[in-house]
Amino acid sequence: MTSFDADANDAQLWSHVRAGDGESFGLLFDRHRDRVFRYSLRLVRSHVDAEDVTAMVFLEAWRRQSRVRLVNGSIIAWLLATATNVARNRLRSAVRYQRMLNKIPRPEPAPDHSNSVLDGLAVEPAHRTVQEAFRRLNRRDQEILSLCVLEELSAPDVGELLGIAPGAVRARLMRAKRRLIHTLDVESLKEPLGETR
Amino acid sequence: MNTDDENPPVFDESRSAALRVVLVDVAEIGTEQNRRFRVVQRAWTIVPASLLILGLSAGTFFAVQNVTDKNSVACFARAELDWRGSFPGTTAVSLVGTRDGTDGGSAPIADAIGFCSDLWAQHSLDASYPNGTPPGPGYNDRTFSHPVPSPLTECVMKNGTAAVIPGDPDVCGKLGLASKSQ
Repeated sequence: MTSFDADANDAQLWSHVRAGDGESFGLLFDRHRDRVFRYSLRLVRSHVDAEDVTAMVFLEAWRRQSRVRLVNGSIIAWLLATATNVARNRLRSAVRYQRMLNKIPRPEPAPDHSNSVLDGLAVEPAHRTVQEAFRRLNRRDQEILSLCVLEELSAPDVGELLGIAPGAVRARLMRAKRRLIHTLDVESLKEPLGETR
Repeated sequence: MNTDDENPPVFDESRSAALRVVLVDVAEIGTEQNRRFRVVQRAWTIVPASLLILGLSAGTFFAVQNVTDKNSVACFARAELDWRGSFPGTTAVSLVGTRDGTDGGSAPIADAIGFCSDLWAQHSLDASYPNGTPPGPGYNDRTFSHPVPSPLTECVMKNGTAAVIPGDPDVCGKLGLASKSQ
């Protein structure tokens, strides 16, 4: 089987992946690795966890290939949406893919930079608060905020990915923003409440 | 919140290279990894299908049940239950207070829905948190005015305790639980 070159679009590469062409899968990984990785960093606490989530997202893509949706000819939206689920259930996913993950070398022991790499934002306490509040949201809220706000995908694209109408995407986004604001309000009240006790 | 930093975090190159090899190997038809992965994939399809059939049978068999253990109640924040029996919310007991402050032990809970409604009103349950409970006592509503979802339905857990779940009466069957016998 002939592999496509790096100029092939996602749809062409994916059709070759489904036909059993490994190198096409490698090219998709090269193309989308960094975006999936940086997206995952928002959802987990350490660099290594985000790398593991990225690995599991691509393995999920291969395992669930019949369910992968290309939006506007690109696989990235599906990968990002899957990253939300994998990060949330990563213990279960890690069990499933343990043998594969064992083939990826563990990093050398080093000082824990987990907090400093969180999207480059964690150095600011306010950003850390936002990130903690974001992590407290349920999976659906994280998913819609990540796709619409952080990744700036359009409502029709997200709707196509999630199988819902664009209007429902906007409504879900509005509710998620409201819950994020509520969680942030509660976070900011936590300290004073603690002091009064 | 996009990552346009001057030094964005990067995927470790040696781990990335190893992962790429694994992915290419898994996807390439005819390789050992590919064959193994397909076998595992079939197993993951067959096992859940078998569990589903067993679950459906069990659901039919235990469709209606009595609450046999009234020492605790499972108060669900959302209608979710995994195969290990974990759910978002809390398992609560009613403790008996004594005048001298010693532990009076637990008391049977006759009205499970009323008991969980009190927890909702105190904001001890909240569907917006992943585990179904606010992170600490600082969030509690001492005025008992936090909204209580309606309706709440009483089901029966496999261990015979009551489970109070937001949703219509058919929520019990959807989670594979028995409804409480009238």
